[in-house]
Amino acid sequence: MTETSVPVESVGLYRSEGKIYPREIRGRFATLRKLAMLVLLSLFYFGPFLTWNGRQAVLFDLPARKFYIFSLTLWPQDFLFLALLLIIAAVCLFYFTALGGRLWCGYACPQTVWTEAFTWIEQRFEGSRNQQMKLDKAPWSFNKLWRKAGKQTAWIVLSLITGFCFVGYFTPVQELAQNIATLNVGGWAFFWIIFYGFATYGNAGFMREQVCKYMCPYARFQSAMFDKDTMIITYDPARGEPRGSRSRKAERGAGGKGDCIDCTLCVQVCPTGIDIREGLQYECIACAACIDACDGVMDKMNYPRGLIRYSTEHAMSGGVTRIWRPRIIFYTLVLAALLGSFAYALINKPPVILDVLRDRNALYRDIGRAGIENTYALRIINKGQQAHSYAISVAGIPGIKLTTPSEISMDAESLYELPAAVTVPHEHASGGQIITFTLRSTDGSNITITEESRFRGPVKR
Amino acid sequence: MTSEWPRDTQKRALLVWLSFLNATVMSLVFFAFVDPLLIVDEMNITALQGREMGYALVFFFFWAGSASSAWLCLRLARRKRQGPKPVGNSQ
Repeated sequence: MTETSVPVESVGLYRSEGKIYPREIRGRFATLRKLAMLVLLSLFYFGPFLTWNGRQAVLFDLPARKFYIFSLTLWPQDFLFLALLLIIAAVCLFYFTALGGRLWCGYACPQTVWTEAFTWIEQRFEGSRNQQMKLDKAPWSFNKLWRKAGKQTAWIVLSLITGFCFVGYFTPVQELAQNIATLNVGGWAFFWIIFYGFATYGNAGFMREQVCKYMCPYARFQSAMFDKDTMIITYDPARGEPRGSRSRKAERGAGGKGDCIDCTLCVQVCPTGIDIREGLQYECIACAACIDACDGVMDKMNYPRGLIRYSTEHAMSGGVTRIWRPRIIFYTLVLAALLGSFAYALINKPPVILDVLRDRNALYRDIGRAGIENTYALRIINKGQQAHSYAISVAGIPGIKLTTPSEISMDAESLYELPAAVTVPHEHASGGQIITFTLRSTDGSNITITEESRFRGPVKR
Repeated sequence: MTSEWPRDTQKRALLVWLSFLNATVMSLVFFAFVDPLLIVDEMNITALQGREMGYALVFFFFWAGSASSAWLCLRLARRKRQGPKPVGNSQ
């Protein structure tokens, strides 16, 4: 480039349709994005191999129907916790979107993270944007063949590792690894590894930002969380317009031109192929690549950075950004309430569950002088890590009696099912009455839980 | 590597992906209350055994169900082209 030439750098032609080859970019936000990618991918790939108290730290053991999260063990009956966690995650997403815009999309979404990893691999094999475009146009040669084949191989290997680690969260990973090493892996484990490997390959290798543009539901409704104080990536038209190319030596502002030199680098780096200078668009995943590109150009031109920057609509129109606005206060309160109830439920989680199911086949049975009998199926789950012994009792109607053994002892993490017969004297058994089963530990561990059920007798007129 | 998708491809991708997400959530809620063993035992087919089979069957059942509902919606909500094709429209 000569000193008098017009653009800082002029590469290729921007096409809004057809293949998008995002140009690689260096800068503050690119570094941040790479860092986020490394941290998140490490968490994902090493997560299954963490151990805690001698067993896998995070294991959603589907075959055994028990979830281990460090020292916490969740049973299917603890669905409330999972539901609460999902709701908390959703509210967090709303909260951060209202505050910081699409931070999730730009840095943390698995789609972004894996796309970043796959693009990195692609660039190692096929080179920069221009080299990739040239390679795609070139006829098949040995050079093209090994580059394409190498890329595909690396992609497939990474996809399979991803599938393996994913399945490793749902079945014990050590066992899974051994089974794979001895080619003895079970049908379903194998199937899901291939399935998730294929999904990773397709999503991160081929579909990429098309997933964000056309398939992601969040991308479509995130604008509902936006207001004029939400952080967005935006071009400063007041400063940039009228745009136009110029010599690098030209005085700033000469000829009435704004700071935008119309080099189109911000468009070339955009993975979704939009022009940020046309304003905020729903395709923008807030990856900040255009900020890095523009900052680099501004540095070269000796203009101040920030022609494209993180800002808010209020700040752009000369106002002041308010952080504490009704929307944010509302989200904060909801989030605090949810987190509080989650913590409360977790701390007060009973170590044992008692389920009472009334026998639906017989309403009641008259057993002569002893009174009226109802039968129930009791299911007791000792979720704790210790063995306990319990006494079962029943109350709610005068003269009510449990006629089955009422003492049981249970191992740690075990399930016990027993039928229970309850009798009530004739004079007190009428219609449907509420009764209460109580399970009380008898080993001094101070556990008591109750469960209500219904006792049915003949209807008296 | 990516390219812009034609509208039909967009719709198909949306259908597959959203019904997948839907099936995931449905399976999550379903299996919180039902042991997959109950389902495979109830079907009583020797080829179908084990919890993993139960999980997979129900998940794919939900996926297929959601996908076919979405497909029908898209199909029936399709607008009929009114009158002759506009001149000069390449679509």
